[in-house]
Amino acid sequence: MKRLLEALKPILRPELTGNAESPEVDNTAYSPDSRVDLITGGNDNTTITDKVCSIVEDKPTIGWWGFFLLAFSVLGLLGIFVPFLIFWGVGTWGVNNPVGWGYAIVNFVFWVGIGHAGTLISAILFLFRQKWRTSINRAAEAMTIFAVICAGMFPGIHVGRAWFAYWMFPLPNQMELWPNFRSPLLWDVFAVGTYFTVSLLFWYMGMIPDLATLRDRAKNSVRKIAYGALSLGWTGSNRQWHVYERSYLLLAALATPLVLSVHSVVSFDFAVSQVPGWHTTIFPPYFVAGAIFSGFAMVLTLLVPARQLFGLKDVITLKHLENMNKIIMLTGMLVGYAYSQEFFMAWYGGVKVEKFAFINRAFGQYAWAYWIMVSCNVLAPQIFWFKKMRTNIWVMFVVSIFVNIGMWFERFVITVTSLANDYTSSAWDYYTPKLADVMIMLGAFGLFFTLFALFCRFLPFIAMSEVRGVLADQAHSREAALARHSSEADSASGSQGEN
Amino acid sequence: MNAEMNGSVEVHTITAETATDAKAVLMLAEFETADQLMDAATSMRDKGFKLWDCHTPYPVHGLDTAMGIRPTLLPWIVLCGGITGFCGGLLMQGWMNAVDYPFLISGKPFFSIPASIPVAFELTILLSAFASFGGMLALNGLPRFYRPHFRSDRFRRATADRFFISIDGRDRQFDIGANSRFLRDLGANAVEVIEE
Amino acid sequence: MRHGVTVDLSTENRTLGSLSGKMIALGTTLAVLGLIGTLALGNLEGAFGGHEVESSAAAHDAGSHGPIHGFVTEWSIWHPYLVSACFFLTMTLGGLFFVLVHHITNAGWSTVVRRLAEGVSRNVVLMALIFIPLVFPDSMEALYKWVHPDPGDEIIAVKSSYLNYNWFLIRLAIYFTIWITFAWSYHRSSVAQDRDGDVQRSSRMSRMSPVGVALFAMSVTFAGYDLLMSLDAHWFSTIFGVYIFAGCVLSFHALLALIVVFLQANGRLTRAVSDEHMQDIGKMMFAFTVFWAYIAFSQYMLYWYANIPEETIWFVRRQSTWMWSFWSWVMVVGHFFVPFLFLVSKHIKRKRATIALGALWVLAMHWADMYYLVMPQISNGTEFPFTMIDITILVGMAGIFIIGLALSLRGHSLIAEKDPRMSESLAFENA
Repeated sequence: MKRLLEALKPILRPELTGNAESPEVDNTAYSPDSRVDLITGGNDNTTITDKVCSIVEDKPTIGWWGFFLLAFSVLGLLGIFVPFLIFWGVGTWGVNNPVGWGYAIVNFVFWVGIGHAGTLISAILFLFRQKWRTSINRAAEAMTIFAVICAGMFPGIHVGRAWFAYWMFPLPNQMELWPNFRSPLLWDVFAVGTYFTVSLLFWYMGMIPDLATLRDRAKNSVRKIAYGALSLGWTGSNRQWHVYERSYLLLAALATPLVLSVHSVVSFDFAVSQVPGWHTTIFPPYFVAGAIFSGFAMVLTLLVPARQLFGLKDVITLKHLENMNKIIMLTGMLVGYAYSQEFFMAWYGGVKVEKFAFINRAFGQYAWAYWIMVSCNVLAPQIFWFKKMRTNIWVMFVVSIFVNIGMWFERFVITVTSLANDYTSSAWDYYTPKLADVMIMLGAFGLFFTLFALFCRFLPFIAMSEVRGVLADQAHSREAALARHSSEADSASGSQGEN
Repeated sequence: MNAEMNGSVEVHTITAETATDAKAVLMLAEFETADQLMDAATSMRDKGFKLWDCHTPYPVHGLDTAMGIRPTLLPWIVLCGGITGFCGGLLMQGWMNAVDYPFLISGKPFFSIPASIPVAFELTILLSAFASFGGMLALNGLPRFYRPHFRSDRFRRATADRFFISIDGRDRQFDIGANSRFLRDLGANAVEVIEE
Repeated sequence: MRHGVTVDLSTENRTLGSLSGKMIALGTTLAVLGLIGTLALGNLEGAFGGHEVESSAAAHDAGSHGPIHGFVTEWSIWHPYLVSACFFLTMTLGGLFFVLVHHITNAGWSTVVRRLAEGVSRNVVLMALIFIPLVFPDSMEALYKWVHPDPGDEIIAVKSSYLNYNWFLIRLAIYFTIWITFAWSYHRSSVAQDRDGDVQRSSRMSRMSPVGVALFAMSVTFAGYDLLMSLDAHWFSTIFGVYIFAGCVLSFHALLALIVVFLQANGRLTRAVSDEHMQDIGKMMFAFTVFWAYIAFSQYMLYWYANIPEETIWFVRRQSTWMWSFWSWVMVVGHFFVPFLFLVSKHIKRKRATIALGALWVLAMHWADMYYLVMPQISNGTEFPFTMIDITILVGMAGIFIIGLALSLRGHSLIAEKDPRMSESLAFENA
């Protein structure tokens, strides 16, 4: 009988299978006197484990195959155009004499920025004890790693002679030369390299307990060996948890200043120069805010379909999405603040060329790009002032796409407008990308989505061990609330006598 | 696997098939909830067990105190990593650009503090992170791919939805009969002994 | 959270009671001491009396013949006054920010200390009064050269539509209106909740807080530009508003720690505010120490690296004499490294004596920071203008600040009695 029930489980409880429908529960109601349930649908440790592991254990769905094949074919563009670029040189790009930094830098900054949300969710929200991070941090961290891989590709191929890309590292060589540590471009190498390494460690370390879960559920020997090796022999021992948790906290504390520093260093690439429109002191925090903004948008773009596809609406609930929308709105306004301060200072500073650079951005040849940027980044998120909008799946999905577009254009506006029209007006030129620029840009998206699809398929999509902790908290706070209500009821009945 | 009645308590014994001289190396007790485990852990600590552990699918808040685990050394290891990274970063930049191969570029000093901060900072974080991760592995004795726990099928749920207490066979108070009764009294669902 | 023991508030002493009288007495003493000291020493220094004509001529002289073209003024009594006024204003604004952020994030842990923050933020009314003497034409002229710029100064001519006396007054009025409105209404609503326990008040305050934070950000930024950055009206930096903001939040958390330690030493809130809460306040001090350093370094490094004269002048003025170089190093070491290393330990943050020591240090450094922003603008930074008046004015204003604090904290409970998140906050533990 018990075995029969086991066999029927997927049929009796369809939400446990990969692509089944899980109910959408509105848990976003503001309740000042109690915390809302972050995990809905009456899940417990068993169902959460089954649900998350089934994504990896069940046969992939048609939706997943469709997504993967599409992404993989877009990735093929890289396979065509990167060899083309390496063979012919950067002349295949549209960069010209004043605009020496084109799509490669734009894409680099764009992808590094995307990566920032993962670390913000996993490290900063961890330090701020935001429990809702547990449902989304794994996917966001994975996204971070893949975004940094995409970003790292661009400096590699845009150095011209890609086979000498290792010259960026301080390695002893026959010419006894060292890299120039006074160059912000070299700081980038260290910042992005450190960021990738630390994010990877953080991601992997967080995954060890969940990989152990997959190991313990594995049915075939390939899985047993693979997950067994990756989980390092984890037994959930509390003596190990103790050190593990301390280490996780320390990594979070280290990753927090790191995430601020990375995009700050990226902003130094621009801001240490004397190029009008680049040289402004607010660049470091402004870039960081923009990075988190774009990263959260990308997390939404990925998670809104994923929770549908994998039946995770009761784990990644509306509350999680609403909170992310609030952060998008906040960081969007921070970015808007930076735009306004730049404009104000360009005028207030009284430096003529600086003033020109900003007027040129808004009303010159690239005005179209500037206004795409402003409407996508500053105006679009304002819709989230309304709760109806920030809890509407379609609205948030569309806004997240807008923000992705807007933030790509922000980097385009910064990079291109300042270079195209700088001090020497006789050398001004208009920048137009060529085919290879556009195709490599698209190919990077292919790489990103392909890696993400593989991640969904082979690694635990949700940080199960952390969600179990949230479930335990939820149960305890429900008990406490029950106790409180019963005592209130007692006192209410007691005071009625007095009235 | 065979079940034997030990006193009035049922204990499953799992023996390695290749074992010639089977000897109990581990005792596992399964609990249904974290609260039961917490009470059991307190009793285990008070009883004076030394080589024992709890196994939980998530870090249970308060269990460290219940078990009497002392604070870890890890923060000091990380501090050392950080100091190494910061000083090493500054020295590396100064030596490479100002001593070993000084070259003048854009009128900047060969070595200066503001321009050296970003790289020194990144290396501080990098080495601290290595120290944190490596220190965690070292202090936990990971990776260690074989453990007697893995012989138990029941124990597979320790990473999903069950809570376990394990007692090492080398503990001075290890005694199959007495311990299994003790664990049953603490509310264990099942008690297993692993032999090798 | 789960295993925390709920504190029984009914046995807790949670009103200021007789302490308010003591605070007012202490404040009055300090204020009188400060006033007498300022007047006496000011007379010795010759701060009062008709040498304005002479000094503005000297300033003009320095401006046209100095080694570097600077936008500077002569020392006046209003410079130390501005330093101390900004010191207390930033702290007060930090309190307002704390309250707004508490509501915007629906925070739990900070509920027990929120009333204290509300009390501090209400002092902004007092700050408005303190700023009144500064906006008289005489004091404005002494401080801000753009009020009467040198003839032919083209840079000032460009921005005269922004930097002019009337518009400055209007802006200042707008800032204070925003701050007073929010500080007052959040405090009132919170105290009203003590009586009726209406949870709708929490929800309303939470809904309004994003608007408050947006207005706060803009007003603090522009107040920073107006009050401090425009001391050198030729100089500009887009990050300056963020720099001021970092100082606001940092100094407020230090002040909060001190207030809690003071109250607990006098038997108030002894159990409601636990070691756990102190640790969190300490963490915020630590975090904003780092954030301040990040912002300060970003501003410095970018101007240092690009090396454009009209931008580096501000730092040159602060590095070209040994006194100001020394002061700059005090900022690097004292404002960042010392509190960073001191506050990193959990035990330091939990012990009352050590956290109070750290908080005092942070406040001293914040004052030094304000001094560093204002004073090198005098005589091209070639003089080291430290006088005893710097201290007497600080003491006097501290007295007034304490009186204000006593007034705004008395007459109601020291904690938000019926806040729906109170039990969560009381049981809070750092996991």
